[in-house]
Amino acid sequence: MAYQLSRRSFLKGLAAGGALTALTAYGGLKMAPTAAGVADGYPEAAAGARVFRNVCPRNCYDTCSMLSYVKDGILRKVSGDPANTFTNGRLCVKGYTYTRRVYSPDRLKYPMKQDKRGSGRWQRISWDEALDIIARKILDIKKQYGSTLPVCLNKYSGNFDILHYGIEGMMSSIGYTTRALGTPCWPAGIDAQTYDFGTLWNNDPEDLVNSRYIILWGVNPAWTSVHSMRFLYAAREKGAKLVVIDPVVTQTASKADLYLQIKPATDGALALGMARHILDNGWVDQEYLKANAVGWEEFFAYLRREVTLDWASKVTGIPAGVIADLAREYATTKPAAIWIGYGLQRHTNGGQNVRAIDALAAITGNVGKSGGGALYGHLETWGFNYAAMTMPKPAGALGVKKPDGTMSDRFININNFGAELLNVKDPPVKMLWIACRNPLSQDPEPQVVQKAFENMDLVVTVDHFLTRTAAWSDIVLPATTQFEEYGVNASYWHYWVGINEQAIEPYFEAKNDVQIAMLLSAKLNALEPGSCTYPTGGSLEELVGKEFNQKMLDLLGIADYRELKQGPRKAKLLTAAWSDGKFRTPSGKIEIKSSEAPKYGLPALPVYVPEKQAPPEYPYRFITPHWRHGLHSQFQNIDWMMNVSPEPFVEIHPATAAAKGIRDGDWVKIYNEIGYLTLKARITATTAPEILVAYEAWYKDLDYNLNYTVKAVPSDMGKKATGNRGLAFHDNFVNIEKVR
Amino acid sequence: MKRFLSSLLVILTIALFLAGCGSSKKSVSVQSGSTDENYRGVIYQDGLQGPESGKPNI
Repeated sequence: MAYQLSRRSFLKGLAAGGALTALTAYGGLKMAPTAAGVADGYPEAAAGARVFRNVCPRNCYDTCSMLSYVKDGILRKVSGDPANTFTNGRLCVKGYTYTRRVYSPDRLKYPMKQDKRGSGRWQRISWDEALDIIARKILDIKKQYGSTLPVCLNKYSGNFDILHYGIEGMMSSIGYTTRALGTPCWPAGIDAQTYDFGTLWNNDPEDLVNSRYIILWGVNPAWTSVHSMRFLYAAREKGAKLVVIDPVVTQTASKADLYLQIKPATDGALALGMARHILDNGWVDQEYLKANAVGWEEFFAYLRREVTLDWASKVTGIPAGVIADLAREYATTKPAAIWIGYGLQRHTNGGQNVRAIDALAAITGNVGKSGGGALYGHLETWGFNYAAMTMPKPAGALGVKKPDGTMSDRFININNFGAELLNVKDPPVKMLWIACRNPLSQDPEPQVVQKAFENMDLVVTVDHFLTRTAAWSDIVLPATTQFEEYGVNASYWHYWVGINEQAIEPYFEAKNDVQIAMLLSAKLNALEPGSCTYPTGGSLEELVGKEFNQKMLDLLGIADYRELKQGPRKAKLLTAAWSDGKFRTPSGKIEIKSSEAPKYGLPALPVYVPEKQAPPEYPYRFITPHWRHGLHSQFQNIDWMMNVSPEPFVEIHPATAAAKGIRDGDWVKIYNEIGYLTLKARITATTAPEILVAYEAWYKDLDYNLNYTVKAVPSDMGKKATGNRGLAFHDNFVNIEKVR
Repeated sequence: MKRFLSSLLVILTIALFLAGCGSSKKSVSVQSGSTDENYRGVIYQDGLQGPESGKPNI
């Protein structure tokens, strides 16, 4: 009883936690006690519970360091690990539900085979039988097509633990295969910062406390990076001004000193309008530009020629005087930071808009300064060996012939997965392996992905739950959670790295991706010796050790990875990114005029590329951001989340609702030429009249998938750094009508 | 008796039909799907090469 948390107490905790976070983040930057002190202080530890270190591996800014409390082999409770000064002993609302996730009655317990795809007629099978079916299919394909290219892997961010890239190693170990390449989340912004600075690298987010002026540009950390709010509040307590720019009045906006409701996809015009005003008033940091940047003279000539405050106002919908004030405050209050969100780059001009914001930071000398920066994300702590994914091909493997005569895997676009699967030929894809993904829920055009599934001989999905994708598979394999496996995690936002210890035994017959690869390798080699190079033995902890190279150890200030068992370590990176002035562009400087962008068919300067306009028949922009109680298709299916958020809804501005005769709570249909969605209306002035907002999520018992309306239109950038352009998720246009 | 049962059956059928009509009106629910069953997506060509194998999707 001591460890049970009732629904009521959870909801109380939720409310209390939310209040703490939203109001003052428990008194500025007062740090929690040390890890040992916290572990000793908990009744679980006193009662004999063992405490383990874990990391939340979800696709999230915060990548929380966690402590798990285990007694009698049962995960009793989770908390934040106070050894990490960013997450500081706290989890988010999603993280606190992990005990419910691990022991959810909906979790997959055994391998299962479906009688007919989508029929729901599932039959429990043994691991041996599942692997036998899979291995024989791989060997059949190789025999029929002369290579393993008809086998396709789609792996992404459902679990960002480094060992989970081992499933890519498994594919390499059977031969050349077809890979879904790219990232749906943030590639346009990555390329933008790569063109400008040489790569993406944000200041330590804990350094935000040193800012005197902070612009949260298209980001909603109150929902998506709750730990960052502590540093934002602390900065404000020291006198910083918080500005939020967003098409939607978010919870973060409600806490800002100034909120600007911008027209979607016009962020570049606002940045350029500000830059022109800064230029006209002599607020440019000439010394900084001379020492650290190239191409600024041509950029200024463009501003003088093409940009005015009135133009920026007309494009963005923000009054010229407000833009002028914002520009003055940003340029003259130093240091000033801009946090660039991922939503604003999910447009056909998204990367270009990020480049304009980067330029704004550069011309004011805010790059490379503590408290400053154009913060987007970083991969500076991701320099692992990727040992589990780096596997040799078996002898005689055939792939795609490259011009130099060598072979390679075949790549298709992860961001247009359905259409590319349908069109890939010679040979076609006949077998799919889905890991750490739910494409039938999260991809644009799931109707096309589903059509592509119909062409498959075999679809295998590895997951915790019978997701929408798993439900349309032939075989599902139960995956372990992070508490049931060893691993290592880094963040793309903060500077901390931690190992994830196995705290409990795997749930029923669940297995880790690497263990599955090892078993499949044994099965393949038993059926056809030499057909798979993946190792068939070794522990996950050993593999964690193999992920560390000297550079990573030095970065973390440790001699051996095992030191991370004492707690996560913060990388010894510069607090202020680029404060060494060593930009990684071809010129070694900030390239306001990019030498690389034209090679990808893009403008060299951060000029304004017009935003996509709504067609007359579909006049509303349908924005589909992250949900407060979920992360992509994860968490919303957990019982506690269902209690607080039982059904989805679409947010409609009162004027739009009045024009359409829609009242709060009415059923409405959202539709365009490819898909539709029926759900309840919520009337709110937090959105704009021309914008409808619904939140992406997977409700396990509801036929809710807003991506049926979303076309796989690419964003402008992403090709250079991630292999494929991103997705213009937010350039999605629909109409709406009342159903009842 | 037989006639009575037949009548009862007819009334029952009508009642069930009407109840069905009513419930279908009530059964508006969260739904999603395709509006064009023939839609098979679009391939967006850009003719540019991406990175080679071995680069993780991050």
